[in-house]
Amino acid sequence: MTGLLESLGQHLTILPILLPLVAGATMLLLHERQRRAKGIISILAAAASVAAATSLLLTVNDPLTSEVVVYRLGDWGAPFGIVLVADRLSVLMVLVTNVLGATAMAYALGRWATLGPRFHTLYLLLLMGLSGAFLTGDLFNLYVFFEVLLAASYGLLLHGSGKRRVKAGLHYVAINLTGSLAFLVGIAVVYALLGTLNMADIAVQATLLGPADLSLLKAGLGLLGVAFFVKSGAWPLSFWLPTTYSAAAAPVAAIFAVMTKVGVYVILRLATLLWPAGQALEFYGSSWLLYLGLATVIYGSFGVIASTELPRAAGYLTLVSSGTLLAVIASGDVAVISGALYYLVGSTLGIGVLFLLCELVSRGHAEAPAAVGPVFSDDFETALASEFEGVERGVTLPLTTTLLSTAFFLIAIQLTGLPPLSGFVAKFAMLSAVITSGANGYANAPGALAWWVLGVIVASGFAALIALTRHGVKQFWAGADTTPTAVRPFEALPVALLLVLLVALTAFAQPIMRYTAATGAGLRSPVQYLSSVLPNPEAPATPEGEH
Amino acid sequence: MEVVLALGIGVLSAAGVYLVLRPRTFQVIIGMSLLTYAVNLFILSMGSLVIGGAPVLAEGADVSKFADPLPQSLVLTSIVISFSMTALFLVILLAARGLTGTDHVDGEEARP
Amino acid sequence: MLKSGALAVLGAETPNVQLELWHGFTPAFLLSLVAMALGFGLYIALYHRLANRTSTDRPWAGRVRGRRTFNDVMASLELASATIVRFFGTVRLQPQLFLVVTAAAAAGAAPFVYQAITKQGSPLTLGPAPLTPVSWSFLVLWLFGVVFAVGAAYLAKFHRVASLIFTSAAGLVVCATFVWLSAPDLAVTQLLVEIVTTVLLLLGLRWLPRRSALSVTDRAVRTRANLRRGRDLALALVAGAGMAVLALAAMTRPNVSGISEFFVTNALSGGGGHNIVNVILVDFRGFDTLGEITVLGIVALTVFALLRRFRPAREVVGSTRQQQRQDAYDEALSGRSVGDTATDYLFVPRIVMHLLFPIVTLFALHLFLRGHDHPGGGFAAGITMAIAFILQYMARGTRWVEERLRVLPLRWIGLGLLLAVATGAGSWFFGRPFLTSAHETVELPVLGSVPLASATLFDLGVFALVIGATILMLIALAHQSIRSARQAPTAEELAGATSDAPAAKPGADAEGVG
Repeated sequence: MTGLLESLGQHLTILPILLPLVAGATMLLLHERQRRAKGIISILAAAASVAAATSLLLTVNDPLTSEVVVYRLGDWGAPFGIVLVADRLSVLMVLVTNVLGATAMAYALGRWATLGPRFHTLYLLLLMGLSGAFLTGDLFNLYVFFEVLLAASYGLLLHGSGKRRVKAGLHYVAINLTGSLAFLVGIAVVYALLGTLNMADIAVQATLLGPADLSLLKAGLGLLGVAFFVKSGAWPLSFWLPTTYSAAAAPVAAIFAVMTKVGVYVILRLATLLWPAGQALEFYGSSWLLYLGLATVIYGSFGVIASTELPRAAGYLTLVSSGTLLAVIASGDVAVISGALYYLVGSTLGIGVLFLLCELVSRGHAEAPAAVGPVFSDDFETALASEFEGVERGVTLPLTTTLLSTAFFLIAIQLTGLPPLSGFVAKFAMLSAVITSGANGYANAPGALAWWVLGVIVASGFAALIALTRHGVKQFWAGADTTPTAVRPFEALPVALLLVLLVALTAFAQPIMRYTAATGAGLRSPVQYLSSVLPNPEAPATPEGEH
Repeated sequence: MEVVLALGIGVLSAAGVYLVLRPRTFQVIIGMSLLTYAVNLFILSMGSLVIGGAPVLAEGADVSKFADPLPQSLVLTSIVISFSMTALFLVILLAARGLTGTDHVDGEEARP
Repeated sequence: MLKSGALAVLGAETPNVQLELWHGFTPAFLLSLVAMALGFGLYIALYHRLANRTSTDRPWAGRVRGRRTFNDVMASLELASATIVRFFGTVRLQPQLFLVVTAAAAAGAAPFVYQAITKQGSPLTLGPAPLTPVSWSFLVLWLFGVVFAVGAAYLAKFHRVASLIFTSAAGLVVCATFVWLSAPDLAVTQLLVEIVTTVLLLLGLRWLPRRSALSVTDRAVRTRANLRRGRDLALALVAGAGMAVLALAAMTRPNVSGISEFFVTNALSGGGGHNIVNVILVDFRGFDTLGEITVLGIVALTVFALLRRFRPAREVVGSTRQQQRQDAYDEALSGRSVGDTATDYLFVPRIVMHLLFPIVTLFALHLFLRGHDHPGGGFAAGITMAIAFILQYMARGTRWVEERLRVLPLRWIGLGLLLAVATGAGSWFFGRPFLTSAHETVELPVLGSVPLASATLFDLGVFALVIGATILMLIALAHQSIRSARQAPTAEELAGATSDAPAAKPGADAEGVG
């Protein structure tokens, strides 16, 4: 038994990918109505993924053991086979994803899961796609996992159907399909020039590329960049985002908060791998990152103020957080990246909770069901569907509204960056590092730019403050005479848990920022990453697959 | 021959992009199909063009004359994924058509 | 808590600040006492004045209405933001796609434009590799390809079926190109996928509205539409030219000795197969294939979920024009009953298609078993099985097939995924990472020496999933055509009539596709 556990420990890296996959596939074998069994399996799978990710974190953070864990799939070494690379950054992202995923899943068990068929499978496969995208070390494998998470997101967005969701879904699918095509073209060009698909090997081969081919490589990287900009929500490629996120069901929108961070993660990973790769590629594209990031923050801030409904404002807040990250990453400075990662964790969890809260808060104001077209005799009219529409179940405590408003208050503080929560600490860390590194960071731009970045980001916090306060007043003070909402324990507990995590983020700011500082240092000089993935870049790897 | 293939890729992409920018959902889905053909051909052409060198090991096959097998496997994965996405887009198109009553991509006719 | 946060950010530079409730009689404390005393003094001095105020205005500052100013500022801020968001953003799809394509074109062209302007970096030239001589049949093939592509684009607005046919023809040209360029696996897969895609699109055409060339008399509207069309055409030409140039530039680079050599050398020894592409797919890069079949499964689930609540538009719920014409013809002639024309259509070919099922199934199995050593493989085999079912739908009609269907697609999808994962996890028991394959040559009594590879089990999982997913999509789409529409109750009935409206004419009682 211990032998099996030990050997399972060897395979820790792939568990966050395989566990949701196996759970999702098993649930296809269960009948639609076995809700209890499916709920239990989903929660177990998500919790197990969190455990695996935490264990990976402890392994990777331990200075005694190796800081980068490489898992060779098929026992083929890089660059020939696909490898999963768990370094500090990937593991952090996987942990955040699975924590948010598990809590939003628990929330969904309340009533959202029954809105349409096969929610659990789609949700678990989305978690699989996200974990895979963060852990992979191969460019084409990244594309495949992007498609997995995109396909699952399409399914989850359309979950529950309805005119608004399908319209939003159509736009979302069309734009992301185009982005994926650009991704493919970019991969093709990179392969044609460098002859490899492994990310570490790409970094190595790019240094060896002759000057005649450098422009072509930049063209390929530019195409890849466009695809990632679409994914991470950079202006002007992100107009679909607020509409899509506000149309999705609440737990789906919560996990969508992580999806823009996938784009940011990929940009960070590839940029830091390629920027040290010789003079010509040094900071290539960083000015685009900076200006588009700032434009996104400005656009998002105006959008937050202009939104009349809260989910839409939350969508624009996602844009603001993405844009902030893109703009500060462009500086390439270690301290800035460290603060940015801390900010990423806090804002992702915060926006996730905000989406969940939006739904809880707006429960009192139910809409009349829209008129439907011709109805079929064999429609999907099960007891599940009819019990959802219009019938609310749950406990209505006298304190419910108070608790909801307190939660909203905390989230507002977190997202606007006010003290004492981690949003403030993160912004302070980021911006102070931006100012002090203003001379040597932002290599292609003058030092005054750092002050512009500071100004825009602070202004965005201010805009968020205005908007969130206004929404809070409208929901909790102006509408004080509406009946209190019915909240089921399944839904209150995840929200409470996430809020506790946010407070813990602040309380444990020091160890966490030490971790992110180490991550930033590891990213900025990826020697350890490269040497772990490619053990011997000169000698050809011997085939290990012979039995 | 490379020129012919490149021109073919160019025409397929141009036709695909034109259709994708049009306002009717059916035009968009046909445009997507054409674009995926173009991109698949593009990926395949990344290994240099080889005629008669299918990468299948057989008795007496000259390995050095083989076409590059890696882009071919990439294209195969891409064909499968694009097929899935085409089918998905088709059904979303149909659902949107049913719910909004129109086949315009925005769900409502453009205001003039 | 604040200290922890501050320490985290400032590190060693944290000032040594003590937060306490009582610091002693410091100057700050004394100043606070003075301020409070002054305040009290002012209040006592002005007490009578304040108590006799008749208006609620604050003294000296009554002109400034704080609350109203605040509200005005907020309102104008919101209005300005809404205007900015509307101006710098859009909710329509076409501008967004235009932006994405423009961004991609710009990103691809940027390095070369930069080089042309600043003369830094490398220019866009053809590489040194010699061009292969032109083969005239290839040229003719692509002339047809260009015609098909342009034709499909031109016809897509008003003649959908024709446009679909042209697209399929373009797909056939692509398939032929794959054969030409030594990619037999790709050609097989492209052909099979082409067939299924065309059938699915045809099934969907039934629900789209009729398009007739509207005569738009308003000149302004027409000019604007033509301008838009011109703009889209310009961007399309730029994108197409960019792709062509990029392709040519990449094709003429000398062959980089990359990782492919490893695959070619080790396919047989490391992977146990002769078909290198298949060995890459299920062995070297099997993880990609696992992701790809997951995508297919997810899409099948989404299609299934969406179509469960499918509500077609009101005007297409009844029979189509073709069906109405056929029924009218049948009713008019004596000796024929409604539905005869549909049954008589393609009478002999239908019988042949019906009998083809076991043969196509056998072919699918053949493709599956030979995949590791010859062009074929799990995916091609799965699609072939799905085509066998499509043929039955076409030959016998939806109702006939649904009565006899024994495949449970959802189970097959789940089992396919689990089988693939189980095959991969099998290597864990040998202490190897996920998806490590094993292969041996086994001596069997009758068949002789048979090469066995664990990758075949993986391929079996792929096979099962592809069958399940494609058939699920097919069933979901085909079923729409035989659902009988219950008429939505009219206002009088809702108000208090006794019985429901009778069922409308059953929609599309099809003996054919769609």
